[in-house]
Amino acid sequence: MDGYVPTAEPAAPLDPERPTRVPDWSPPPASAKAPPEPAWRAWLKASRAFLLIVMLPTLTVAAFEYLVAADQYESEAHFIVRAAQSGGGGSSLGQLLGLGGGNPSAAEAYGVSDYLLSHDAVAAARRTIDLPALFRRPQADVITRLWSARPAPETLLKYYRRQVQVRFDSETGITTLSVRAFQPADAHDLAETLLRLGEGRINTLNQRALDDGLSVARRQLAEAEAEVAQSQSSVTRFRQDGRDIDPERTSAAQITLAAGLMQQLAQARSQLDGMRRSIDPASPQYVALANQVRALEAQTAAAQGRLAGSSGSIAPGLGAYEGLRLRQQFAAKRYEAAAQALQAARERSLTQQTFLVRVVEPNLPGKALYPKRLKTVATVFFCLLLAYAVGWLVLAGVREHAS
Amino acid sequence: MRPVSSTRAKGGFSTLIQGFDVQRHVIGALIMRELHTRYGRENIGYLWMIVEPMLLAAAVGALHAKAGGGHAGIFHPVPFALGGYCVFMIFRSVIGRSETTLEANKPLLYHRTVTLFDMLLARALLEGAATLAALVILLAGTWALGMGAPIARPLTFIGAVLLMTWFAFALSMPVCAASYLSKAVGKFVHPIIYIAMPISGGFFLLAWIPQPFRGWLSWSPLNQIFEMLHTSQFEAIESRYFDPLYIVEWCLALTLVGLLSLRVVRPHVHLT
Repeated sequence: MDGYVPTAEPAAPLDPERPTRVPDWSPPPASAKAPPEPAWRAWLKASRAFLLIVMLPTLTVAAFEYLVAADQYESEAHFIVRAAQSGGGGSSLGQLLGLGGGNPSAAEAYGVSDYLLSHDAVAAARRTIDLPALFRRPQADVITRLWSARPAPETLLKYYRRQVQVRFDSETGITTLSVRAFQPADAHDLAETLLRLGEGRINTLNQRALDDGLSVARRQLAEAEAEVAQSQSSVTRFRQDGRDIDPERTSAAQITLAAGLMQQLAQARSQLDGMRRSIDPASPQYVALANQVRALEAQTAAAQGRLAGSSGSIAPGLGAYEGLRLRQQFAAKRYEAAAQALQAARERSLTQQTFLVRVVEPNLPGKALYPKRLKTVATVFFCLLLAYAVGWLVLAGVREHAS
Repeated sequence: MRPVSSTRAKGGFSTLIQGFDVQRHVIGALIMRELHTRYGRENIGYLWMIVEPMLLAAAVGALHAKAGGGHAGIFHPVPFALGGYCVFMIFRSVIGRSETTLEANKPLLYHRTVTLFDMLLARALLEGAATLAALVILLAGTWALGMGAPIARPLTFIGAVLLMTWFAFALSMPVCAASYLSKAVGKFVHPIIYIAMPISGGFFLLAWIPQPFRGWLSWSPLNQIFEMLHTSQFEAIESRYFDPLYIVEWCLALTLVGLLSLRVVRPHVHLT
């Protein structure tokens, strides 16, 4: 407790060489009263806490790492998920959509790495590779290997996630797949299988996007087509029913006819008026002209009646025909728009197509890189040493209170 | 003075028990003394210990009520800000006060059983407990007002607050020692704390930070503690940027540095 007693000396700068201030880490001298014991035993007794807390666990871990733990080989593959940029091909619409739609490949790359670490991928991989057997090779040690030969899917998934790592680097866009196994060929095979699964999943996603985009446009086009056909057939039916090929032209001809008749009638009437002043109405010339006027009057009335008035006349037929024509034009416009939309959807699906591009093929490892034995042992040793030193200092402080 | 006396074996162990008992009482007494000197018995007395951080945190939380707009619906912005601010307050007040601890409490060192370690630990415990209580009350309040949800992962939450208290305590030891030896160190402490506030991650997630900076910040134990805190508070946040073991290693190393620095500074403390 000398530290807190007021001291006469001035506050000196930090001086580690002062012997009395530095904590004493060495074992205390053996007591004089104790029976003589061998030096190694006294040392053992003095440093037993250190041996128990630091050395024993470190040696246990070291023994496990160097004597028991089996070698693991790592196979690594790199790939990128990329959207095709060549889809434009001069089509400004496609380029515009490709630019406006944003780059979908980041989301898809995340999707692939998520898929590769999922139960779905494990189940798919089990169809071609016997995963439990792969994780229970004879080379594998009892602790590290998969414990159960017929594991529950969740257990297998947990183990699988320990052996398979997928890292997506959002800066470079490269996804790194690394697979660890107890045999070099196993690691390579599993990595290859997983890459193929990832490719398959990308293709499925593409197909679905394509189908979704096109099916709507196709359905709209089919509807427009049906409407065009229907309006066409109703025009045809009108023609057949009305015995009239083109009511517009027919009505124009009728109007011309009626106008001609009316002109003739007007001429005949004026002639008749002029005649009445000079000639006797009983004369045959006058009677003939009057008859002609009457006949023309009848014909004009008939022609006008055919144009408008009764139910069989031209005017209502022309109205119905014009309505049909209008509907036909609308249907044609709609068809045109639907056809354009389908074209656009097709272009969009081409530009948004994504591919899994292999940058680095999985390698066949030659040397076991795992487990990192020295690193593990060193980590355990230094962490325990740190904990021991802290504990020692704290306990020393506690003991101080007792004295 | 030597921690390992010649009467080892059973004698050593009973010394330890006795010492532990005494230290427990010393720290308890120091906490009571701290409460008296800081808050006294006037008006609401000790309750100020909780109300004081609550007032500050409530103001900060209200400021952030509209700030988290982009993430509305994913999590509640007010509890997010409250958690970040309160936990940062543990760090700030423990470190900030450690600079003056030695000067303020020097007379206590006349008592043989009171050590610097006890004083710093008492303050860290007091700050940690007070802030945790304030935070829990505030979070319950936001929940009641419909502006928040209950803590999603309570064990992780307690772990994060404990780790922050430990981290702040561990760092307060070398800060206390250094600022006693050199007055210049004390001048740097407060600016550094203020700079640490915006970048320590109390009010953001590392996932929102663009890449090169995210990589640098994720090495900082403070940022990792806040990632842990935010993850514990909200169901929707699951940060990949923290490792409790990494934080513990930092705390252990800092504790070692702190204990050694206290041992170094002790002979230089003059009581006259």
